[in-house]
Amino acid sequence: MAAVVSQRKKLANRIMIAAVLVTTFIMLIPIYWIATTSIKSFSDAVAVPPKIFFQPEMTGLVKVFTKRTQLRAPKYKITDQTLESLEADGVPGDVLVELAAVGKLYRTESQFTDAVNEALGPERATDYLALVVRYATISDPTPEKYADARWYEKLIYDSGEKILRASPYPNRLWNSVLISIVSTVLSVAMGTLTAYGFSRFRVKGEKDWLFFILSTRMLPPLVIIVPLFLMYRAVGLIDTHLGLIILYTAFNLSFSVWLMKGFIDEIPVEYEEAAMIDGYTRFEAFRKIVIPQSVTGMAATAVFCFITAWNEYAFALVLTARRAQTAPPFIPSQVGSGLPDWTAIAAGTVLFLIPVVIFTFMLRNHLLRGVTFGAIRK
Amino acid sequence: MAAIRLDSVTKKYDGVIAVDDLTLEIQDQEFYVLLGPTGAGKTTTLRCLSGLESAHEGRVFIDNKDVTDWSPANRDVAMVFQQYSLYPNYTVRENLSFPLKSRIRNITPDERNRRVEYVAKTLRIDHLLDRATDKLSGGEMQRVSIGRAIVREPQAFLMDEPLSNLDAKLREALRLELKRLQRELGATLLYVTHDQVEAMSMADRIGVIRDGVLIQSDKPFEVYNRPKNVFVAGFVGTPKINFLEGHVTDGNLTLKGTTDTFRLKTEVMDKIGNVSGEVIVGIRPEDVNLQQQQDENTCAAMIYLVEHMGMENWVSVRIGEHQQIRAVTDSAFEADVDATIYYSFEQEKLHFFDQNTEDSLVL
Repeated sequence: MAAVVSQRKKLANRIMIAAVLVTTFIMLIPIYWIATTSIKSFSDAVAVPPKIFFQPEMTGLVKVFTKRTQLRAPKYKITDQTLESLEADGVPGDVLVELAAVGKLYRTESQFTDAVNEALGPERATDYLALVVRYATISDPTPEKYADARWYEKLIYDSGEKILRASPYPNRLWNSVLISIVSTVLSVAMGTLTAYGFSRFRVKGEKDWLFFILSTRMLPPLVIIVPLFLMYRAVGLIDTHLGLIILYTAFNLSFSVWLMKGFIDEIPVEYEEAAMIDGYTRFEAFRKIVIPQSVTGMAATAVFCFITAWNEYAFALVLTARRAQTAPPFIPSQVGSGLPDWTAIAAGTVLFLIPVVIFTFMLRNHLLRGVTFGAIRK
Repeated sequence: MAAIRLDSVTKKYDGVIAVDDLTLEIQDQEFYVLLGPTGAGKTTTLRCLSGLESAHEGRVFIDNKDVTDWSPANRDVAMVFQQYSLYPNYTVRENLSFPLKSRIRNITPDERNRRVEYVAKTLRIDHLLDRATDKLSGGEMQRVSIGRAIVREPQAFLMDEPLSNLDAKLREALRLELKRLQRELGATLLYVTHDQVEAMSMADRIGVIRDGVLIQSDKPFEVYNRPKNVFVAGFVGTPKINFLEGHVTDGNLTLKGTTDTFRLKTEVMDKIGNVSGEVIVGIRPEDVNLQQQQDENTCAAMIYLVEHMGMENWVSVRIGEHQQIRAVTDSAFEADVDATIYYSFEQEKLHFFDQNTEDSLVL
């Protein structure tokens, strides 16, 4: 067949490939944007026009994993240390004595210089002011602290902040992984069993049941979020892993049932009947014949369920706060006071994308066969 | 191997009766063929027997044990399906040993291997043992499914049109093989088909079924020569039997739409109880004689079509206005279309049926 491809077909083929490439390119732009933003400095990230070439840095990534506070402005105070340093630099003793009287802590440089001027008089003040200010400045962090700091601490100091403690982001990611995986396993397992029942047995009102199952997906989730919140509060499921797992499983189940029914319907019932006659129970036949045959379908269903649970935002935002909070509501909560820190948000998002990419990549063979199922069956 | 008995089995699907009060007995080591058109209830009967379906009424006995409420696994019958019979993703060897791995059978791995090898050799598929099932031809596939049935040494074999997806030549070859195998194994075998050639060539007994009712259960010879009604007569035999409407008065048979009249012999009249009135007459094509000369018991007809089959010719002739008769002649027979020819019947081979009930009038 391939040998007799006409010129026109060849051309059409090339155009198709070009179209696919262009589409892929367009689709990848947001990913590229997020990925680059995550390794830009804050000023590069918000630059207009956007910067294509930039010095990559890890600040955004460090920010996701830390709780930070703004550095304080420098303060000024003449301490014993200041006096010793001045003496070492050859400042005369009488000046030092007078300076020692300026014992107060000053919050701005102008107040401090005013005080020094007053203490020393204008003439001497002009001679020594620069030195005095240098030695009396208490910066945040102190130079010693800065010198001792680890590389990531320095990055944060450089951006005008200091680290208070580690952020709960790893914990939130873990919550996401746990909740998504458990709810995916549950919805695929329950969906497969339900679909098998609908596919193989005469169920009274089968069409109505299936429609009913699907109808659970027919209204926007936000509509039920308030009653759900009240119910969850009443039974103590707020901010628990179990709460989200139940919710996501229920949410994905209808989808899972419908998808799996399609796959199982395609498996000839003769296989199981043969197995049952060959001395196996229905459940054994299901396990040994139907499950291996529907692995593809289960993989495709699992990917869809996983992505839905992984990306869910609204319920997670409302129903969890700390203990069971997932990554999606956590990432934007990093928008602190002032300008949103896009580098931190982008870094969080990139990390958030990785598990789902890995999961999908692992199942890619099944997925491709899964979504083209029916079309390529003999 | 064991005898099988169905006792007044009735099965309904959504209120539609698929099998109607069917009673059937299959002897030990018998090759029994259930023959009928599509939708006659053959497969349903088989499924009730295997336990895949449960009958609404009636009992099922295997080896004189009432197995009506037993699961398919416990009934210990083997089944060969029309298609999709091999487990996918398994090799031939795994397919063959699958029934032996069941928990209800307790067979050691050594014994398992021995049996698989033996069956593979018997069916001449030993060179295919490690092949994936989707790399097999249709004939090889069915041979493996038959092997999977044999390897268990079950109480009985149930086969649901196992050959109908194969091409004609292969079907013929496997037919012979199946018959030989059944003899060698001394197997009780219930075989379901809509192909009367398969039924005639293999069966010890044939059961003809229609609309869930077993019409006739007899040896192939009896089914062919003493059909119980018009349906059985028409279903069995190639080329198909001729049905003619006729009228019997005082031992004379007059065919409808013609003036053709035959004087029936006394023994023929005795056989059908000296009926008179409207009847349906059945005569198999090989029992129709054609000749060029007229004599006292022949009538005139016109050649309509001559089909050359090689070893014989099938000749269709027109009698009267609308009726047609087909005759089998030897291959030397030559005639022009529309030429006049004279025909007669082997009177002993005439079948008479009641016009209303279509049942045979033979006593």
